[in-house]
Order: sequence, then structure tokens, then C-alpha cells
Amino acid sequence: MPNGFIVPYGPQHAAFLEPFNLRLTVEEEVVVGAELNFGYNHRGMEHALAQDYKRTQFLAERVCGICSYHHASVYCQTMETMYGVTISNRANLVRLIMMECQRLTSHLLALGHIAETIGYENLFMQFFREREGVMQLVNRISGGRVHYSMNAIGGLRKDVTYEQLMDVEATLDRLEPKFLELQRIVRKDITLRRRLRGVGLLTKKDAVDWCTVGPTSRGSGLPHDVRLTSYGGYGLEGIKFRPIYYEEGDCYARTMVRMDEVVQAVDLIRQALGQIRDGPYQVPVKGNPNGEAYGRVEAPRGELLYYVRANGTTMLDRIKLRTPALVNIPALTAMVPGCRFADVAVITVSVDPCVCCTDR
Amino acid sequence: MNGPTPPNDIRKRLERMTRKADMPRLIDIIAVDRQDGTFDLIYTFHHQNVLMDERFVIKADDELESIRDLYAAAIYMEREIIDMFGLRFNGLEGGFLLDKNSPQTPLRKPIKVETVKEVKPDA
Repeated sequence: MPNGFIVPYGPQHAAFLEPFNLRLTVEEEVVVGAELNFGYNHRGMEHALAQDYKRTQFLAERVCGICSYHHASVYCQTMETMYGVTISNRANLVRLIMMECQRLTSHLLALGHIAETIGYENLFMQFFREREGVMQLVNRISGGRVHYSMNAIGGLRKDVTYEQLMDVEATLDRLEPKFLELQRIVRKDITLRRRLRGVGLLTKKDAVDWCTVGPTSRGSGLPHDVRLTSYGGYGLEGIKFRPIYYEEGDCYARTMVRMDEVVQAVDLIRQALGQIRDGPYQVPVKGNPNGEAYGRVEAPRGELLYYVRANGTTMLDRIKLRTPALVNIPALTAMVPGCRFADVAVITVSVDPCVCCTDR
Repeated sequence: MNGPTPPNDIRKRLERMTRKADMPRLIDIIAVDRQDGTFDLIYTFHHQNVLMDERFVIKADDELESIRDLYAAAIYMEREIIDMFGLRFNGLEGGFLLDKNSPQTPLRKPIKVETVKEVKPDA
């Protein structure tokens, strides 16, 4: 008899929102090994994105349904670097506000998903109720709940009004006490602590080895955050930011990073609202792009990199996306060995896996 | 970029660079088809909040040395390049994002439009 059983986990599984497969080696109730399989959702996005650089900004937004605006923003940022244009402070700050709004929706979804995975339905519903408030806000501003389509190469497609900015402020005033209450629950709640503490450990050494990013690496004591590179609005005067990180490396640490970042996102949006002034929202760009450029943003799940090489025509030579999930999900193979089989679901969900981003 | 880099030099240069920079975080490995039988291979790193890269030109039939022992995450990046461009890394196979019924090496130029074969479940 072999030492362990092979248990397929996915591609269709109640804990997964999207399809991927974990091939677990299990001895008794303990997982001793894991192997990953992807590609169930591969759409050839890198090929499609290279077809017409003008349409790419809209297609890039469709790579992922959770961090869609980050994809659109990083693509525009990359092309702006290639064109050598500097966009206005107003456009930078509006992008910052919308990116932080999307961080709120993404983190609240991930937190709700963790609560649901451990069977804490009540907390799941509370996270999703507050998330709905942010979803309705972004819908009122952009006209879309998922795809905002607000960006253009050189700034924004259209300006936001004073009333919309006041709406952001009023909505945050209403939601912030609820976020603080949720933060208090996540910090103190005995159920969450018992289910998440010491589970799915990712040591600092493994986090470096697997090149993890975002809350997954910040939960293991690595203060990596692309926002420290001061891109876009994060580098403007009056915007202060310090990365949140926890040393423990378990599911609870990753959850706490997200929870604290929800509160931090509200603060960043308020800072941006305080700095925003009237001014141009778009800088014109001329001609087809030529050359190559990188762009990086801190998406909710971590660093999102775009590399674009253009040849002076409307078609791009190459566009490469390095999404955060591509490095965070493989790190599961370091987190899962030694855990109980019943904990695999919550460990997987704690890295906030996004298969749309990974498969592309 | 100059002419092709001998495959053995790639690993040595990367080792030297990572030692010098105290193991910067590997962001990604990017392949680009130069359409003359060679490929650009770009290793991007994050070091002290700055993005830096190491660039190589390789021939299509070169067998490259994997850096998965330096960075565990490199295994999936290299497997993706095998899938998308058909390049070779020692000890690794594709099948990360594409299966055997998918169009093979879809990002190698000129890009061929192929019909995906329908796979019927076993009776």
C-alpha cells in the first residue's frame, strides 16, 4: 500500500470561486504534499491584448473581474511611460481613489469568502453587506460595478464631478464605522482565531523563495508594497502611506492584513479627496507607440506588472502580464504540507486565489 | 541587445547578479519572439523598490538552465514560456496553461490561427 492517498481538490470545488486543481497527497488526515494544475480557464489574453493598443485598455480591464480597474490603470500607466507623458495630478488622484475603492471591494470579498469557508455565514453576510455599499458607490461614479472603463492613455476618459467626489466622502463617512466594527470582530472573535491561527504557515524564507506579493507576503513579515515606489497618485505630496504587515505568516495574519488595509484604503481615499483640485483630466498623446516600457501597480492581491513592447503600428509586439496570483497560488505548495485536510480550503482562500488572472 | 548569449552564461550571470543584489525578488521571466529565430529572455527583479532586469538573447533550439533552485516561483514562469513559445528549460515540461489538445506555442510568430480540437469524454 502506498504511503498516502492522492486526493484531487478541484477544479470544481465548493470552496473555489474559479477552477484550478490541487492534487493532494494525504496520510490519515494530514496533507503531506501538493501539486498544482492550471489552465482550465485559459483565454489567450496576451495574444488578444496585442491586437490593437487602443482597444487594449478596455480588454485589459476584462482580464479579471475583481481587480479590473488595476489592470486598466497599469496598462495606461505603461503606455504613458512609453509615450513619455506625465498625467495631471487630478487624473492621478481620481485613479488612486478608484483603485482604493476597488481594493475595498476586493478585500471585503476575500474576507467574506474566508468567513464563508470556515462556516461563519453571519460574518460573511456582514462583509458582503458593506461591500455592496462600495459597489453601489463605484457604480454611481463610473456607471459600472465591475468594469469602470474610466481610464484613457493620458489620463481619464471623462472627468468626475464635484458632486461625485462629495458622494465618495459621504459614503465613506457612512461605511467607516462599520469597517471599524468588522475590524474589531476580526481581531477579537474566538471562532476566527481558532480556525485561522497557526494554520497554513508560510515562513518568511518560503515567502521570499516563492516570490509572493501583496497580503500573502505582508502576512509573512515582508513589507513589500509597490505603492512604496510612489507611482501615480501615491507619489504626490500630501499622500502618506505605510505598508501594513504581520509577522506570523498564518491565515490569520493574511486576514488581518486585508482587514487593516480596508481601513487604510478609506484613509488613502480621504487623503486624495483632500488633495484633489480642478485641472485638466487628460493629456493628449499622438501617434502609435514605439519602444518598450514596464508598469507596476499594487493590485488588491499584490504587485501587478505589465510589460509592453511596441513597434510603431497599432499592433503590439508583445504584452506580458505578471499577475499577483501567478506567484501567490503556487506558494500553496509550501503552506499546505503538514496541515489537516479540513484546513486546505481556508488556506487556499487565504491567498485570495484568482484563476482569471493566473490563466489569462 | 547584442547577439545570442551562450545558454551556460545565462545562469552564471543571474547567479552573480542575485548574489550581488542580495537575492532581489524575482518578478517575472518574459520571453519575446524577435522573429529571426531568436528570442529575448528578460528576467525582472524588484530590488530596493526599483525594478531591474537582466536581458539575454537566445536561440530557439537552446536548452536553458532553469533557475528554480534559486527561486521556487521560477518553475511556473519557465513552464509558461515552454507552453507559449516552445523554448526548452532543462528538466521541465510544459502543460502548465495549455494541454496537448490546445494550439501549441501560440505566441511564437507568425501566429497561426488553429482550431481547438474538441475533446470528447470517454464513452
